[in-house]
Amino acid sequence: MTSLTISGISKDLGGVPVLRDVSLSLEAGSRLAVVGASGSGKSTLLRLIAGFDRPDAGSVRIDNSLVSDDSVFVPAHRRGIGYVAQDGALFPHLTVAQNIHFGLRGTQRRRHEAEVAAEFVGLDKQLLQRYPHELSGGQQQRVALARALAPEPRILLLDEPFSALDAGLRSQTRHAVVEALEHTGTTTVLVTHDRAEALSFGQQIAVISGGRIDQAGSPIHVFQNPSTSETAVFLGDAIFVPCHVQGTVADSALGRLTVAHDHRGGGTGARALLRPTQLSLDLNPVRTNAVIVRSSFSGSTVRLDLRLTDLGVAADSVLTFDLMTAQPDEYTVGTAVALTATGAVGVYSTAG
Amino acid sequence: MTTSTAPSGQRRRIASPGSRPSPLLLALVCVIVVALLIPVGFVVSVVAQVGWPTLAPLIFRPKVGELLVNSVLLVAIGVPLCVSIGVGGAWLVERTRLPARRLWAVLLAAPLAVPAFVSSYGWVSAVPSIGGLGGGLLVATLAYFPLVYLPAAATIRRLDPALEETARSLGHGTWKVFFTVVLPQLKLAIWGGGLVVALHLLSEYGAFALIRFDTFTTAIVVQYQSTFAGPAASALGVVLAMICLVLLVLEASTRGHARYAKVGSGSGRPGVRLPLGAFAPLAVAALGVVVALSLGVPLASLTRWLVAGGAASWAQPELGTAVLQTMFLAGGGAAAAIAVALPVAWLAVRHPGRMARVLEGATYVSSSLPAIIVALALVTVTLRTVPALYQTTWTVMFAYVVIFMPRALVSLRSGIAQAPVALEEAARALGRSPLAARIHVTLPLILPSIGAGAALVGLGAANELTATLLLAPNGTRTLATQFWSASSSVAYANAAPYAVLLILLAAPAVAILFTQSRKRERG
Repeated sequence: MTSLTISGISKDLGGVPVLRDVSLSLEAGSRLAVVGASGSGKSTLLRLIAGFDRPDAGSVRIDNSLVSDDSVFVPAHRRGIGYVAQDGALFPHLTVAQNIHFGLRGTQRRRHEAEVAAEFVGLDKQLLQRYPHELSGGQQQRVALARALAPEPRILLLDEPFSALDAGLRSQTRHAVVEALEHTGTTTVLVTHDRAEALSFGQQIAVISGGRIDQAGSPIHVFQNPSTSETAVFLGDAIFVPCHVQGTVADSALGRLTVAHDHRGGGTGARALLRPTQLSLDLNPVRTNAVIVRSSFSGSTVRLDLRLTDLGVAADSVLTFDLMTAQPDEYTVGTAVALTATGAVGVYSTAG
Repeated sequence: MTTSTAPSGQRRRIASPGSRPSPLLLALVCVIVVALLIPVGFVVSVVAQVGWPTLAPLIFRPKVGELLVNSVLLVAIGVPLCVSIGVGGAWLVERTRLPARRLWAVLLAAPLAVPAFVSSYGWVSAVPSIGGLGGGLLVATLAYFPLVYLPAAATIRRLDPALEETARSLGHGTWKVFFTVVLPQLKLAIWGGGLVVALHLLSEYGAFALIRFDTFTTAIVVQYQSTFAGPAASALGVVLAMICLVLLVLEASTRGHARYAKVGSGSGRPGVRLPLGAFAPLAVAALGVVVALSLGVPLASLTRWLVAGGAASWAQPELGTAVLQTMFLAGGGAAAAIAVALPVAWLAVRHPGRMARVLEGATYVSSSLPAIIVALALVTVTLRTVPALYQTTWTVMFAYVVIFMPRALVSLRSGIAQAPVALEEAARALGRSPLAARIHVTLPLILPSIGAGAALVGLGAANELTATLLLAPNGTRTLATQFWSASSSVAYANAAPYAVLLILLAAPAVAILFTQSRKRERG
C-alpha cells in the first residue's frame, strides 16, 4: 500500500501553462478520479506522476520518497508505477501472454503469473496466445490492465482507459476494473472526462479546469456541495432557482429553502442549486406555483419546461428538468402544478 | 453522459508532445542534410566560380536551345500522357466491373520492373528506325506511367464512395461524377506522381541515348566523355538543375494543402463498381494495347535475343562478377541509405515542427536533382577536396544515398509512425529504460519498413546507370553497366542475359511498392 503526494505542480507545454500550482494527496490503497473537460490538463498531470515528463515546479512523492522536484527526477521505469493508456497501448508484435509478461522479471513464474493476472481482470485464458488485433476493445483494455497490474505496481495510473469503448462495454469494463482494484488494494489515479465514471470510481474525486484543481473531496461531498456553479453543472443536471438569502434560509418561488452552504463569495444576486431528485411535482395541488410550457417524452422520463408563476421573487424564469414518471401523458402543456423542493441547498451568486 | 463518438484524445499519438529532440539527434540530422546538399552546393558554386561571363556563351547557344525544346516538350507531353494512362487505368481497375481486374492491377504496375533502358533496348531492336521526340515519348511514357497509376489507384481505393453516390443522387451521370467528384480528389496523387514522372524524364539517360534522342542528361554525358567535368558540362548541368528546381517549386505551389481523401478510421466500405456494359471490350482493348506496348514489346525482343544468343550469351565470364559487384554496391548503398534516413525520419515523425520540416525538405531537394548532376558534383568535389575518394566505392554508395534517399525516408517514416510513443511509454511504465523500450518495442515494429526501404534503395541502385558509369572505380562491372556497354555497341544478344537479371532483380521492389500502395490506409 502506497500513498501519493503532489504539491505545487506547474507545467508549461510550448509556452502555454497547462498546470498551475496543483496539489493533491492520496491515501495508501485508495482511488482518486481526476475529472475535467478536454484540455483541462488532466492527462498532463498523469504523465507528470508517471515520470514521462518533468514538471516545471513542484514535487511528487510516492510513499514519502521524493521522485520529482527541482533537483530530483526519477525516470518512469524506476518509479514502480502501472500505466494504462486510452487505447491500451498493447504491443502489436507480442501475444497477450507476452504483453502481460513484459513487465515481469525472471522466467520461472511468468507463465503462472500471466494466468493469474488474466483471471484477475476476467480475461478468458484462451485469449492468452492471441495477438492484440484479434481482441475486442474491451478485451484489449483488460489485457492492458492485467499487464499494468502483473508487476504489482506501487501506484496505478489510468488515462481515460474506458473512453474508447462503447457505452455498454464501458460500464461493464469499469466495474471489472474497480472490482480488481478492490481486491489488490492498489493506490490508483484515474483521469476522465466522464462525470458518472469519476463519481463512481473511488473514494476521492478532484475536479480540474484550466490547469487548476477546483475542488477535491469525497464524491458525495463534492456532488452535493460543489464550490462553484460551474462545477455543479459539470458534475450533474443542475437547476438554479433565484432566491433571497436571509441567514440560513432562502426564499424562492418554491418557498423557503434551508441553506446548507453559501458559495456566493463577493458576487451579486443569489440562486439556489437544486438537483432533479430534490424536486417533486403535484398535479392537483391546493395552491399552484408553476405552469408547464413545454413537455417532451423520452422514455422513462419526461423533460418539462416550467414557468414559475409566483411573481413575488422571479418573474419569467423557466426551469427545465427531467421527471421520472409512469404517467407521461398527464404532463400536458398548460397544466398548472405545484413544484416543491426537499432537502438543503447551496446558494451561488448570479453573476459568473 | 457523453456518447461514444470518438473523443478528441483517441487519436494515436505518434509524436512526443512538448519534448524537444536531443541536441545529438539534431546535430546528426544537420550534418546529414549538409552532406546531402553537396550537389545543390555544386550547382550554386559553378555559377559563382565559373562566373556568368564564361557560362553565358555556353548556355545561350543553339545546341542548348534545341535541348531545352526537347526537354520541355518531353515533360509537357510526357507527363499528361502518363497521368491519363495512369489515372484512367486506376479508375478502370478500382471502380468498374472490368473483367480480370486483379490481373490488370498487376500488369499495369509491372512495367516498373523493366528498367527504362531495357524497354528502350527492346523497342530499338524491334523497330530500328525509332528515335527523336516521338520515340522518346513512346518509350518513356510506357516505362513511367505506373508511377502515376500506383498512387492514383491507392487514392481511389480510399475514396469515400458516399461522395460518388451523393453526386449520382443529385442527377450526375458517370462521366460527370468522374470529372467533378473523383478527379478533384485525386489531385495530390496526380501532382505527386506527375512530379516524379517529370524528374525521371529529365534524369533518364540510357533509354534516350539508345534511340539517339538528345536531352540535357544525354548531352551532359557526351560532353563529360569528351571534356570531362569542364565548364561546358557544368553549364548544361546548371540549366538542368534549374529546370528541376522550377518543377519542384511549381508542384509545391500549386498542389494546395487540402486533403480530400477520407482519413481516420479509413473508408469503411469499398466503392460500388460500375458495370461497363458495351464499353467492356473497348476498355479491355485499350488496356491490352498499353500492356502489349509497355511489357509485350520489350519482353518479346528480349526473348528473341535470348534465343538468338543461345547458351553462348550466358557463358560470358563477366556475368558472375557483375552479379557480385551489383549486389555489393547495391547492398552497401541500401545499408548506408537506411542509416542516413533513420535519424531524419525519426526527427520528422517524433518531433514534428518547422525545424524538422525544413531539414527533411532539404533532403528531397537534393534527391530531385538528376543522377548526372549528383555524379558531376561528386566528381568535382572529390577531386578538389579529397582526391583519394575519387572513383571509389565510397563515392558510388554516397551517390546512391543522395539519389535514393526518398525511397528509404518514405518507408521509414510510415514505419515509425506505426510505432506510437504510447507504446514506448507503456514499456517504460513496466520498468524498461528508454533505450530498452526502443529496442524491445519500437525496433521490432519498424523492422518491416527498414526491410522494405532497404529493398527499394538496393534495387534502385542495382538499376542505376549514370552515376555508376561516372563514379565507379575503373574495372567495375555491374549488371547495368555491362548491359549498357553491350547494348550501346549493338551487341544485343550479349546484353540480353543482363537485362533478364535486371528485371528479376527489380521484380521484388515492384512487388513491395505494389503491396505498400494497397495496404497503406493513411495518406
